[in-house]
Amino acid sequence: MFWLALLGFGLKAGFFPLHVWLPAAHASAPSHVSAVMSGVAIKMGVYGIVRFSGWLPVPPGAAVTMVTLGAIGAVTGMALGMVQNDLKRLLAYCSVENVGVILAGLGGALLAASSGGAAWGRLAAAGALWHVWNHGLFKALLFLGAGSVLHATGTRQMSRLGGLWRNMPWTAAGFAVGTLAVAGLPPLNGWVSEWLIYLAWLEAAGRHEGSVWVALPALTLLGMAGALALAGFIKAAGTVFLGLPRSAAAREAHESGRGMLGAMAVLAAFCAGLAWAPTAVWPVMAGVVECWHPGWRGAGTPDALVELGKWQVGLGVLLAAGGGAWWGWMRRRGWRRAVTWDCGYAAPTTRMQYSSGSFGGWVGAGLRWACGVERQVRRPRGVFPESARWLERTPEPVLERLVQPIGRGLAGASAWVRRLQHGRLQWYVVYVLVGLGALVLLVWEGGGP
Amino acid sequence: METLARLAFWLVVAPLLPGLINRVKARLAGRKGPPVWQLYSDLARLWRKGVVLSRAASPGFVLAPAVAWVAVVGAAWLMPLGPAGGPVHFAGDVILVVYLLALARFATAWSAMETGSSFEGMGAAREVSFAVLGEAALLTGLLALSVRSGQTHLEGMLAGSAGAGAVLLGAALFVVLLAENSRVPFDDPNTHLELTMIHEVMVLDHSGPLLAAVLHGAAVKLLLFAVLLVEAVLPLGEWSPGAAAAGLAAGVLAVTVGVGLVESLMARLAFRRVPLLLTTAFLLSVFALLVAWRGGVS
Repeated sequence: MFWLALLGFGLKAGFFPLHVWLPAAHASAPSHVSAVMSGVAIKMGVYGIVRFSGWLPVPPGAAVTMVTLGAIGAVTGMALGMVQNDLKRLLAYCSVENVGVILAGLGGALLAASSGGAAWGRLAAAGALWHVWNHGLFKALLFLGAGSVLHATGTRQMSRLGGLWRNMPWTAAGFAVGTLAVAGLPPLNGWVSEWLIYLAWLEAAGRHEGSVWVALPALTLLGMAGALALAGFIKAAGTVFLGLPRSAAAREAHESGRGMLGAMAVLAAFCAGLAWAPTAVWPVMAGVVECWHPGWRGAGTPDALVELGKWQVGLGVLLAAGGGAWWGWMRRRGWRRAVTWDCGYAAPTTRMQYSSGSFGGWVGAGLRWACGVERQVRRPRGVFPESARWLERTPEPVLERLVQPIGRGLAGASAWVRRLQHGRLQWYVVYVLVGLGALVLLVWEGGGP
Repeated sequence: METLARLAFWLVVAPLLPGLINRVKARLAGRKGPPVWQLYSDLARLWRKGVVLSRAASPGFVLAPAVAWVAVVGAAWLMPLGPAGGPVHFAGDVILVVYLLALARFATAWSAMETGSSFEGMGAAREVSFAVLGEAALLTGLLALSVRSGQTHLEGMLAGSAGAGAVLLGAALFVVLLAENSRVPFDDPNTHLELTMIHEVMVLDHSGPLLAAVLHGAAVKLLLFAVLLVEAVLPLGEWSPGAAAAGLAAGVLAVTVGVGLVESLMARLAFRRVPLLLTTAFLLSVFALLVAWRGGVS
């Protein structure tokens, strides 16, 4: 039963091998709908898994499976995101990563429940549930930002964008906040919940019992997923908002209306607020965890979280005040503007900027075993080359290597069956006769009524 | 007061390290070399200089070096310093250190993307991609320390005895130190115009106080990794305060000279090999972790 629930809700939540529908669906939906889909809809799958793991007898091995799937899925999901060129597909793959993180945290909580590790189990469960909220907030913020970009320029291809901060400063600022949050960097909210999960793994690793060994690879994989998320989003923010515009559409972009900017501002404020008052959020999460596992009650906010909360506020204030003071001081000193120095390559065309494809190149090379980037290349030939071409496409490995072949196989098998149905009445009468004969034989042999 | 003393230690001592490395390199090459305090005068000079910004750069370009500097100094401040211990310690502060360094990496890569130059974009891409392996090696190494000591905060993790995995862990952390601080087998801090650079290339368009912040932050980061390496390998917590302080100083000096030696005796690695070397560091960390894990059971 539990496995079936995991499969069903897992399809909905879209964790790694079951995510095949997610990137395409989230990328094609209108952006505000993508925001709700990513922020809320896939969390219904997570909710289902949480509820069912509370009700159903959890088979042994389920917790380790969930941790493994979640951790590996987080790394693979984000690595696939890293090689995307479509902004919204990147965001969708990042959802796969975050659901992986959540799943790994939940698996850890189940593991703790079965091995009696109340202290770290609470941390893991609270971290996972908190990450559900955090992911909803910053992913909605990012999707709204991506939607503004799409609206302003008409393209989601990062290689055609660039330099949008000039025309869309507020969207760029909101997207930057989302980027910091999604990369799990202090002092924003994605970091707090990831830190809780890290801490749970650290405490689990110190206990040396049974299947807790799974905490060791999980922690490393979580770190790799975090570093990949940082890489993926510096690529997204860098190619879309920074640098110089790569196309006319990007050059003539316009800022979004007040409604969009207001929504982004509210989400960004929540990203900061949830992060800077972790002690206010903890009781809520602890209440939910207590409901999920009635044994884990009491023992207020962990001391470490209180300390971290102080750090969060301190760092936030320091960055804001220090950044403001630094900016003011630099402003008064003044500066000169010049072309990008770049070791003397003055004024290349803007299309010579590092593109999103090249940015993901190293990760793509590391991923070649899973998803070879498909290339169509026609090199320039001769003294006066007439044309050249370079097309790159990143396939979705699970969909195109696993699901589609199975689908094609099924379709082939069905085609063979379909030859029986050809519309010739005489043959249908023969089928009926043969069927009747077989029934008669069956009744005869079985002794019949 | 203690906070100020700690900050002063990190901020003032850090620029010595690059100077020492350069001195070692110069001696081995038979040159006299720049004075050890060269970086201090460089920083003072840069601080007075004017700033030239790229036309492509947004206000983020001015803010990013400050953010990176604050993040690195914050991470350094959290580190325990031998006999003095840590300024605060709470469970999981070790993850905060790792992520503050990640924040610094984010800010540097951000300002590299600001300039719209393909060269600097390339540096940013390499930096963040290699960091995936580097972070795995670093976290696994820290996890080994945590498993061995049974503690989840830096002060407890770094105080204890080195244990059997110390050599493995030390080697792994040394490779991570070289990678994170763009030293030789990964990157050559001497070159500015070669296409095989990771970190240096990201700051090509910084000038004046912006460059000073970047350079000083890099020095603090080098000192941070050196202190981490020494404290992870030597059981400073079991020594008397004087011996621990001396051990820490000697260890940091030894690491610095070691970096200088590596830099003089080795060529930079072929670029395709870099992930391989980082994976080696990761595997060393994994073995150190296994040693710690088995050691805890018996």
